[in-house]
Formats: sequence, structure tokens, C-alpha cells
Amino acid sequence: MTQASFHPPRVAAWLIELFTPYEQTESIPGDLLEEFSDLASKSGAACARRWFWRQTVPTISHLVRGGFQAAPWSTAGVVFGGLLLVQLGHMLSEWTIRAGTQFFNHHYLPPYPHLRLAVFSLNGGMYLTRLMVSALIGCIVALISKRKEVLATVTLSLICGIWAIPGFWNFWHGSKTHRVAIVLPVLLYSFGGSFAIVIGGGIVRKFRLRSLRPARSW
Amino acid sequence: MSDRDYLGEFEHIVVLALLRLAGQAYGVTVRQEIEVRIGREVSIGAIYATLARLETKGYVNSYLGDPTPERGGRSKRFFRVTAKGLVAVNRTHRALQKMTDGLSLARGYSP
Repeated sequence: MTQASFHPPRVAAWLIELFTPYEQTESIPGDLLEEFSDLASKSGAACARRWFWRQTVPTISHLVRGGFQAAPWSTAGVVFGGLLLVQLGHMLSEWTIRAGTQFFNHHYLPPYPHLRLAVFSLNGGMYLTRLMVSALIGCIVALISKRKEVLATVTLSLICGIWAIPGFWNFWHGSKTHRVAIVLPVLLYSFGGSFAIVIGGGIVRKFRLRSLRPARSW
Repeated sequence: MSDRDYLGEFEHIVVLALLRLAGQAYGVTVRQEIEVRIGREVSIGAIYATLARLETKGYVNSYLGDPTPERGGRSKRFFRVTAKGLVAVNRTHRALQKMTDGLSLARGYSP
């Protein structure tokens, strides 16, 4: 096997790329790749992959801590602004969908159960709207946070995720029947927004990186 | 930044590694130097976080080298210790020596 055929774990490499500050996008991934290739040719791909993962977790933790220490107040300010946006965005999207549902119920749907499928679709629309609004908020927060987009959106997403835990806990303990059947939509409704925020941040970061330098492969 | 600042434990180790490696100090060599000399496995993130802090304090500076194929076309970032960094490492070293003078450290660890 030639040296060029070794590749580090995709997920680990992607995480490193995501959290590395712009001024170190050449050095940190380059150093990791250099040592990975060296280790892979000496001790084999499996050993090198394990080493790469062992490096990834503490490296990300140091990069996150370093990011906060470099600009604690501006990061906290952006995250707080993001929290307000999340509340406003979810309130508006839910209000719009509920108003739409009531309108359809009242004007168009005769009171037959099978036609309530349309209302169910509208509820599906509510999930989708919530995800889209969250991704949009992730993009806005990433744009405002300048070069700390992943740090800001991951923090915001963690706070939103923790915020959603009591709601999910109440659902799990409150509904004794059919809870397994509807656990996926409830999970999506509770935590999907948090993932969408990070995805929004990741998209902005990807575009910024592309504008700064050509895409590099691992 | 005060002129009486001392280097932290890991900052001290990293600056000494840079001095040992002279013109060849970049992430990989610094990490390996520390691992070989003191037997401590450190992450590349810890090295760069410390180097960034030292650079902000003005104790080290850096420059980009040429891109190389084994790094996927990425450049190395070389680091060197500044005159201010040398003063800081000497000050820290002297402070540690003064504090350990006359101490029998082995006695503290004997059963």
C-alpha cells in the first residue's frame, strides 16, 4: 500500500476542519495529516486511525477553550442574541402554522376524520418550518460571530438542546401509550432545531473557507 | 502585560522545545520533541493553543513555510522565540531554581 492511499477517518478530519481557527487552517490539519501518513506507513492504517481519533478529541477541546478565552464577551453576546432569535423565530413560525391550521379547519375541512390528514400535513410543515428557521438562525449567528461561527453555533445549539430536555422528559413520562411510535417526531421537534443551528453555522463556515482558499482533500 | 510575568508549566516546556529545535520548530516537531524528551503524549491542539497564547504575549512569532505534498498541499507554520520570550524563559527558570535551592525534593517522596 502506498503512502498516498492512507486516509484519516473522515468524521474526525471533518470535525478538525470545522473547529480549526481560520489562521490555523493550514498548520493544524497539515500537521495531523503529516504525522498520520508517517504513522500509517510505519505501524499500519488501523494504528494511525486510532492515533488520529486520540488526537481529535483533545485538539477540539483545546480549540473550543482557546476560542472562548480569546473573545469571551463577544462570543457570549452573540450566543445571547442567538437565544433571543431562536425564541422569536420559533414563536413566529408556530403562530403562523397554527393560524394556518385553524383557518383551514374552519373554512375548508368538513368535520370528517379522514380529512384531518391535511391538518397532520400542516403539523409536518410545522416541524419543517421549525428546522428551516433554526438553520436560518444558525446562519445569522454565524455571520454575526465573524470568524467564530462554529463555536457560537455549537454553544447556542447546546443551550437550546439542554433547554429542550425538560419538555422531552415530560413527554416521555406523561404519555404511557404510543410513546415509542411517536418518539421520533417528538425527538425531531425537541432537538432537531439544535442540529439545524449547527448545520447553518457549518454552511457559513464552508462558504467562508472556500472564499479564503481552495478546497483541500485529506 | 507585566514585565514580571512568568511562563506557565506547559508554556515553559513548549518554549524550551522551540529553543531546542531552532529553525525547525513547527507543530509536528514540537509535539514529538516533548513526547520523546519527557514521555508525555500531548495533542496538537494543546501545542497550538499554547503557541497562540505565547504569540499574543509576544514571546514567540511565526511564519508560513512552503506547501508540501505529504501535508495535502498545506504549509507548515514555523515558530521561533523572540527576545522578550528569551527574557521570560530565563526569568521563569531562575525563579524555579531559587525556589528549589536547598530543598531535598527526594525526601518529600520517600516513604
